[in-house]
Amino acid sequence: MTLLLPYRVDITPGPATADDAPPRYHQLRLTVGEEGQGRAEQPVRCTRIAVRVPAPTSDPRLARQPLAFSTTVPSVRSSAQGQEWWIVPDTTDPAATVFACVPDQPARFDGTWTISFLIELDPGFETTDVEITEETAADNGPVSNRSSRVAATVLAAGAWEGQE
Amino acid sequence: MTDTDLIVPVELHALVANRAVRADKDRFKRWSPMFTMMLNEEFKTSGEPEPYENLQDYWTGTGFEGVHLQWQLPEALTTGHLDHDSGESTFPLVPNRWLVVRYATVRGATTVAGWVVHSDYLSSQRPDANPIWDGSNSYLNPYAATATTDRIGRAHDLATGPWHDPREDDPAPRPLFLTAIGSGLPAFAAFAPYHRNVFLFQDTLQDLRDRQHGDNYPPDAMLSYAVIGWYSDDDADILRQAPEIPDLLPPGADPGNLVDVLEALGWAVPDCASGAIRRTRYAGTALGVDWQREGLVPDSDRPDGTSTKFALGHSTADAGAALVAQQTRSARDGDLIKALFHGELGAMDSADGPIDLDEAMRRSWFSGSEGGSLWRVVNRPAEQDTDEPAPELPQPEWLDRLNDHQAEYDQGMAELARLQWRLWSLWWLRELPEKRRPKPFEFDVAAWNGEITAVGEQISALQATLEELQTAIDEFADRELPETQELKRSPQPSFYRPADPVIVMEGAGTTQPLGRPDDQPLPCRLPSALLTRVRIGGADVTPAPDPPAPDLTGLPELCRPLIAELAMLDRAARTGSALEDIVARPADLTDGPFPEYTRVWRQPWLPMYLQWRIKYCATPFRSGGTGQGGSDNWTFDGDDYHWNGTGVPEGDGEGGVRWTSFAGRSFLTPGLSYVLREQAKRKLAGAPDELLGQLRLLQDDFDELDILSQTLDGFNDWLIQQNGAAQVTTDQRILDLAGQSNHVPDAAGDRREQRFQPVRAGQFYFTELHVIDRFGQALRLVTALDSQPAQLAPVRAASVTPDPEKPLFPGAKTDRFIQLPPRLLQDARIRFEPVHHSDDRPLAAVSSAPDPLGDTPVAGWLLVNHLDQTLLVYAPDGSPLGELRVIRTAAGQREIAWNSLPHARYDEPGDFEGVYPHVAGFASELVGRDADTFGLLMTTIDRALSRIADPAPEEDRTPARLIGRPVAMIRARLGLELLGPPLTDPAWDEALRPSAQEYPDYRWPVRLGAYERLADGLIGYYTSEPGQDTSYRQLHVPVQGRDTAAYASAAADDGPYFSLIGTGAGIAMPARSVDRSLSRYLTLLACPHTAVHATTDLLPVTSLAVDADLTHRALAAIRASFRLNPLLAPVRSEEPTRGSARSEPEPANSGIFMPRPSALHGAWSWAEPLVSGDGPPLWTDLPILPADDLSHPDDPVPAARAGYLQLHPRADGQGETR
Repeated sequence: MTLLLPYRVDITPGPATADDAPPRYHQLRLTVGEEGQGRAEQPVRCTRIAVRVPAPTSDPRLARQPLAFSTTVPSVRSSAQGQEWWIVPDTTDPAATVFACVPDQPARFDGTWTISFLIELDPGFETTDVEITEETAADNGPVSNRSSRVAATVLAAGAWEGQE
Repeated sequence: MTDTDLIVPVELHALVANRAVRADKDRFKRWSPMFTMMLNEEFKTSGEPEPYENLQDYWTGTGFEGVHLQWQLPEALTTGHLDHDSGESTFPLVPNRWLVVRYATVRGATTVAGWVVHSDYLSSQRPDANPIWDGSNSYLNPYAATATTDRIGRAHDLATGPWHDPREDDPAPRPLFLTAIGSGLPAFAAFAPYHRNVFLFQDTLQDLRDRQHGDNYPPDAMLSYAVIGWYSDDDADILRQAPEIPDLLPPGADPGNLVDVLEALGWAVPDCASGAIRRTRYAGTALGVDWQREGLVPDSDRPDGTSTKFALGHSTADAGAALVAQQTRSARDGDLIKALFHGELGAMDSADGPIDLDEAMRRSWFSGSEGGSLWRVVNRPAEQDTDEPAPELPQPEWLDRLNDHQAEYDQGMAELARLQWRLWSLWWLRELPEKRRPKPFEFDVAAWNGEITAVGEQISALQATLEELQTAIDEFADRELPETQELKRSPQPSFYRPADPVIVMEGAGTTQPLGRPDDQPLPCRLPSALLTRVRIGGADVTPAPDPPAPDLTGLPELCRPLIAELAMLDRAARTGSALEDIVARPADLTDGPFPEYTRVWRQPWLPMYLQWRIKYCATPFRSGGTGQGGSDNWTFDGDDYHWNGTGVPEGDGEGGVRWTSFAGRSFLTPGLSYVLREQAKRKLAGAPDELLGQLRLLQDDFDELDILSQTLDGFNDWLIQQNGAAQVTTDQRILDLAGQSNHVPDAAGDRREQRFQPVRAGQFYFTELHVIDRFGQALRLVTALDSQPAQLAPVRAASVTPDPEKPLFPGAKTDRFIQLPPRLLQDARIRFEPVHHSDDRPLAAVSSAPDPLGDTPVAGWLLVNHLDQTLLVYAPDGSPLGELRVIRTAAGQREIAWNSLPHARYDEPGDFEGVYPHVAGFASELVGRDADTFGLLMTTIDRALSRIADPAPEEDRTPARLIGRPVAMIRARLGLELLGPPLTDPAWDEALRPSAQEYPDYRWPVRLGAYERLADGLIGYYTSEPGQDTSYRQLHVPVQGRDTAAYASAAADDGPYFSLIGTGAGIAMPARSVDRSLSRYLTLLACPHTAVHATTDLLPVTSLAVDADLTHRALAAIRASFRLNPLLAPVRSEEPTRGSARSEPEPANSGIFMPRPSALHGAWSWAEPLVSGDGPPLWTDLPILPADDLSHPDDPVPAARAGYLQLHPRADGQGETR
């Protein structure tokens, strides 16, 4: 199913490594709701957004290392915006890490606001293709799962921000 | 105004978040509770985010800007009190209404604004869907029967209308619930992001914008704030609650007496005017807050990170001493800090001082837990003190049964705890959402359920057994005993578990004390005695009767005078240095009690958390299994373990080794400076006058020390995959069986995180390290830019410094690594204890076969007789057995021989093998050996005794001292015990069918004795492998230095008689649970007055000592015997008969003539053997008659005699040596 919400994924390579390991995309920024036009008439209710980041495959050494990550959640203003959001990582599948972004209360995206989630991962990931699954509903209907792949934009290393 | 209100000062912190502060992405690490996710069945996370997760984006948008006001509750309201009956902590209710008043001066005009913070507002009570009714923080509904999420806290802007308390409309208001820990979070009242609009108000300053002036943002302003707090229900007031809170009032305090209550709270009331006080109000101010939206980051005490030093060690003193030694470049300064911290300053000047200090410090590397109990029948304490040792009390025959029950109970409790943990783990994992299981993983729900049922049944059965045992134990308490006796339970040696590593930081920018000193109670005020005058710019200012104020309708009457006070102080803050002057000299420039915490505003920096992320690499104690094919990767040098540089598991991380990552967070405390200050205070009590001043100065210095310390909480738990930091709810369905647990298993749903290591050993380094303050301001101490973190090398105590010659992987610089030597992460203890002298039973088990010799572990006594070059041997009760000496055989060989002593009941050692097996074994093994062995044995004893300090030589007044210091042959048992069955791996792949752990079969060397320690009494020991009879073929001696060669050369044909204890590798014991425990029995040759120490590094040093009364009784019975021959002396007597062989000396009319020794120490007699057949010789014991110069023609002809001069201690003790 087509995703109801607009997403933008930016990934920023981490600092260069000392060895010959493949590039590590250390930071992922997921921006949701950045659309602006037309949404106010048909707002989307959202109870969850999940980002699935495949593990690096070209170098199995990276896939076997335990992960260390930092996550940053947006500050929102009201219960309509979800009140608070949380990111819960799922690292149980060595093939991919899933980050579930969950609002404290169902959020109502009406085009007037956006939120961004920041995920930093070590060791990183090497694909620019992530899978997004949302639990959303238009109007007041029941929420349902929708998935799609989203191609990320790779930013220059200088644009790296957040923790470090 | 009547003084029914007590005004308690609160500290008000005001954090200015202007654009520069807000836009700095590295400045804060803020997170908030996530109870919604905790209760979400699909996630079941912890109630608090994991470190470095779910950090708040505060820099996007301007929502974070403004002034964040946090009021710090008084200590008395944040302290929990343990109810000893229920085992639960009670926290007092705290004020739930707070008025925030702001005076703002913008462009020369001062305005006032106010808000009421409705601290215990719950979203579940919201009247409508309007976002103004959104609660501010994730919370658990306190009134719900089952855990239910809610949100707490809101602020009411008084500009929108007066405050109306909803409780006034409620016909049946529910009881208040708000405490300092909120929904069970210890940091609830302390960490700003946890309690927005509860104990914190963010003033966005948006109301100051003036469109006429084109303000897009709040304009520059000088701000002053006051907060005033109260309970919405007077019945909840702390003054009324206090008597109901268990353990808040000290014993003897009168709950009805307000003075006692206030004293317990640590609050001082002016002039004892407490009669009318009925309730409390809380007040604090923040004055002269300089708001400049486009200004620089305000100055604060937050350092830049590069000036902060941090040190690591096994304990606070360990790390603190390392830091001090490094900073002062003086190891002795480090030792002094260590000594002061442990209260061992006096030890610094003693010969054993460094060793004692080291031992005290090593003890602090562990935390102890109860080791079970042992029952004895003892005499009730005598009404009058007496120096006489109490006679040994015969123990009733039922005592063995009682102690058997108790041992079974203690063991059962440990087993129960393990079963309960297993049940809880299985239950917890089963209930986790599927997504938390590893992939792939086949979850066999039937097997899982079956195991849970089976373990539950085992628990029920064990609980029933334990109840029966407890009942049986209780019944023994009713046994009738003579009035002078009582049954007494005494604790068995404690079990120990290593403490988490400790980090100590200097220069983190805080000197906030741990708490108010007891002698400085919080000065409270009364409404009738507020500030009545302040001097501002040379003029006296008095409070206005009607100061500018927000709408105070419905608010406490006290608000207005406190706002008037704020108005005065705000004016001072806006007038040059008036406020600085007032704060510096309140007595001169103000009238009325000066409110505590009144100061000129400064951007706060209030360190609260230490947060870290480390990379850990295991360097296991052993690789390759416990069999022959395996090998230890660590070597014990007698004091410490050293890594051999082997056994690092291969992996895919840095250096090709396996890493795991651990992040944690814990509360920072100024614990080090607090303890040092308190120790200095203790010293004050007994200090001479000339030192008093210096000690006080020292105390003041410690007050100002900018040192924080913290254990890396949860580190050890993390290694055994347990999580004690998770905020979880205990499932009621399992509570009865599994009990309350504050840990959950970390089953490593991500298999890459498996690291179960019940024997901790490894190295780690920090990839991130932050100090985080009450507002979430962060100070980064380590950067993690790539796999080689650029960081300052931490200062490391010697105990955690790895060998630079043995890096974890080739090329690794060891500066950043902290090494953790092997430690059992399961509670364990060394059982090094005396046992019965002949049959090795525990000394507790004495009643089943009473021993006429008494309940003694001393198998025999030895005395080196230098006069005769003999070794005198006595039975446990001091009765004579024989002497060992060197004789020349017919073949001309010089070898050791045995002679029985006067009145000995046995002829040869073999004769008393059944009664005194160990003395017999010792003597038999020596007889026939060469003279060199004898000489070296004598030298060994002699040198050891000259080294061993006798703690109280003046108390040993026995005549045997005339010969020399006695040596006790002590029977002892040595073993390492684990508390309960071995730990098991809770990982998903192991949890259901855990593999057997091999660590209970690892062998741990135990070094007995300490050659360099004066207060260690060991001369040597005999032992054998566990399960075998003690061998006396080899004496193990603690020898060092030049003497070593002598022992090495003293080899005999059948192997050397002497062996050096060295590092203790000769005694290597496994640590096992009681039901599989392995004991080694030893015969120690030791000074009876001085303890023998067992050192393992694995556990605190343990010592064994012999009961002083036993020693005294036996030594008092020893007759000193001096071989004398030939003696040419006549005897005037009748010959004694065989029956008098053991009788006391004959009457004075018969005796031997010779020069009589001094009678100062007792009576002397002459003993000589009579010719006899088989069996022990008969002895004649003659009094000594003084030779005189008279003629005795009737006397027999003097004969050449061989015998012993014997000294008899007097019964009244007056003959004791002094």
